[in-house]
Amino acid sequence: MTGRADTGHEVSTSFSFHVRSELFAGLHALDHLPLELQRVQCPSPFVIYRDDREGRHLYKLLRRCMKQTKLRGFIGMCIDGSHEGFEELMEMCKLFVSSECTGIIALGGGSLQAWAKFLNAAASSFSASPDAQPPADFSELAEYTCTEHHRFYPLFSVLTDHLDGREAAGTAELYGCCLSHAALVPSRIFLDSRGYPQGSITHTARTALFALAQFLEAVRPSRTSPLIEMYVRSGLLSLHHGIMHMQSQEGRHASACAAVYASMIQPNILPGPLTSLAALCSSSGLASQAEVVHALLPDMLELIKSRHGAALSFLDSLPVLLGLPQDTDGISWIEDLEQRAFAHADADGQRDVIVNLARNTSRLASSMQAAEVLELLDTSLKGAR
Amino acid sequence: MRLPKYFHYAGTQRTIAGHGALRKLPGIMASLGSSRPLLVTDRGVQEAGLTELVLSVLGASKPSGNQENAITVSAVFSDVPADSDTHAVARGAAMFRERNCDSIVAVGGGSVMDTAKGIRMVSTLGGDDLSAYSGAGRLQETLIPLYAVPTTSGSGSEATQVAVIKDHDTGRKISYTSPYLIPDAAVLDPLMTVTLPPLMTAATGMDALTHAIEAFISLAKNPLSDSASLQAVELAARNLPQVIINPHDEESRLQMAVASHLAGAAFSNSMVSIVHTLGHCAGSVCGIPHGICMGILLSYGLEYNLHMIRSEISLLLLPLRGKAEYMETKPSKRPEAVIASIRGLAGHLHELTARQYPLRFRDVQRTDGSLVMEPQHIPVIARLALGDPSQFYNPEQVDYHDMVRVLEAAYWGYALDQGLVKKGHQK
Repeated sequence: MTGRADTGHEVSTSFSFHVRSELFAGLHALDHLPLELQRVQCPSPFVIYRDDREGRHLYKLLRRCMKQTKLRGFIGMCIDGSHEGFEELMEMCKLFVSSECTGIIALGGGSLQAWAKFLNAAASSFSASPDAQPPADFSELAEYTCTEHHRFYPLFSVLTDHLDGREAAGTAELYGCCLSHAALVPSRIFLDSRGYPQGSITHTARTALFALAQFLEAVRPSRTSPLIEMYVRSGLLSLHHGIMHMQSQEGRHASACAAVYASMIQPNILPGPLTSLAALCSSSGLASQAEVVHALLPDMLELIKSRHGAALSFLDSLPVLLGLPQDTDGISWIEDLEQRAFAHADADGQRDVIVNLARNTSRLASSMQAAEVLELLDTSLKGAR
Repeated sequence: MRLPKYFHYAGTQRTIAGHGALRKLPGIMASLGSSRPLLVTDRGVQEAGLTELVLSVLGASKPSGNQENAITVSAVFSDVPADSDTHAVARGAAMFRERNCDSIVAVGGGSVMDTAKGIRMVSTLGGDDLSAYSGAGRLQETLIPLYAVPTTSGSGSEATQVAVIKDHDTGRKISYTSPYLIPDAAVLDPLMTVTLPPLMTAATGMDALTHAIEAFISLAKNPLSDSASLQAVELAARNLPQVIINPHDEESRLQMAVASHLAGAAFSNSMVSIVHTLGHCAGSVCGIPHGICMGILLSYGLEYNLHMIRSEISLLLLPLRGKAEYMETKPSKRPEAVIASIRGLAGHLHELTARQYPLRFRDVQRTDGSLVMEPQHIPVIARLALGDPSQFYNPEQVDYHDMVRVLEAAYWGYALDQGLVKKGHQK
């Protein structure tokens, strides 16, 4: 069932929408974390952070907040994130269990949050059946955890502005292995502006590109609802400000807002073909997410237009709100945004990426949205020729 | 976009909307382990046959998942007054305990939802003294499951973390605010609102529009509530006249239900301001229904704040009137165009309801034709409003004289004299 909006865009009004996380955003947002730990009866959290400037900065902020509480204390563990494997995960799990930890605080962006979710899966599986044979690898762990009534530890995600919203979803991917469970969604999300990293515009631009693709794919008529559409509209407007002012605090705040909108959408949608492909290529080392989005976004827009008619016409009202010239249509505005972000993303050009992807279609076809992914690749390959 | 330095956002756990959404209620309840709910409703809803509809859906449910038994409604509590009060909550909580219920299904408008939230607090936490949990953030525990099925499109209570319950003995309305009060699920089914009479549809619809707009101008606004406000304004502006012209237009009823739900989520997270400040008190002093107060006061509240909110309310012209009119209107004229558009919508509702829907306080009459509000009520309402906490979220710093001016304008139906409005510095 659909309702026609002023913009001509069809919006499904039969829908289900879940808001699973409470969000604390802005200056000193992290100061609310100790009280929230008490609220969910988590006196002894396990903290996981990345061993880099950003991770250590967040860890320092957290320690300062925790000092003022009567909580029992916490175990902190930093990871590199790129070298650790399943063995390290199980070591972490052992420490979690032996320290009688009661929840997880994850400080950082996407891959760190993925580690936290895998740790949650491992630790909660062990607590549920301490005598069971431990899983042998990531995929066995994912299978073991995916029963409907599995109970996870509460997860507190402390994020930066380098986000695309997947951090708030009930999924995580490590080494090509996917963990998915509705209850893996963080129970609390913190976005403290003191935690915004400085000077990594490349990273911000790459995340913006991915978020752009994700917002656009979220409005495919079969998936959307008035709630998703409203967050997409607001998310794209914030992303515009974020991309236009990438080097200023205002721009970082706008990017963080875009991430907030994305995090409301993420738990309610399935990934689209472009975002699936970008994530898959990145984890397989075929191309970076930014390169894939840059190479395929115009074709993805074309596909949505040809398949779903007026699905993207709601975009036309957004340049008006931004005060852009009256004749700016939504698609050209999006394409301009994409170009601006790509200019900062330190990534390679388009044709080689498409050809490389086309050569690897059999590997990529195992994706969840295989048919849509292949259609997108086929369209792009024709264009590239 | 005005970005706050800090904000906190909590929303409804699950929103199930659509034609036939009600049929999904048993499955949702089963997933949360509920099998013996107390059904809270009021007599009006019962007489409209809506309680029966919900009972039949729940009665037809079969065991699912890890559930041993199908859902059995343990008791129906329909003794809910027009304004939720502590005695009603105590009676409902006693029934909950006696019948060994494990959850609550609330079927009704704002008063039913608030009563259900009160019963939920007392039944989970024990004791009968609801006042122990009054105020903001004092409630810190997860409560028994609450499933909300709204039968009006106005209060948005199915999406809010707020309950307003009158102390039966003192007559004071006490508010309770906590994310733990948000229902576990909200079911928006157009079948539940198609029987709502035109006057009540108009009044509750304007209540929803007021929630959305006040949340958008409030000092506590945030990016997520802004998003919900804009979508709610667009849906309400387009569908409210339509559901009065054709009450059985289920598509428009559903869109109104979604508008009200989003407006509830918006104001629940960013609060309301002068329109509610004065509306609460006009309701308390004169007994004017809340939705009628909101519809009358909305344009005057915006006019009062105009010098503080020009850039914000300019943006509302797009969802209210569409892209063409937004672009045709000079940016400097957009704020006034928004106010004119809201007055135009109210005027349209006035005509569509055969002039039953009033445009000014002077026109609110009892069934015998006598006036519900007299000019001498204005200072009484204004003094009472000084103690209403919602004023603290108003962009302009409100004082007694300002409140009198706004009430007088809304009473006689003339535009507020901008030259007399105090220009303060709250924002």
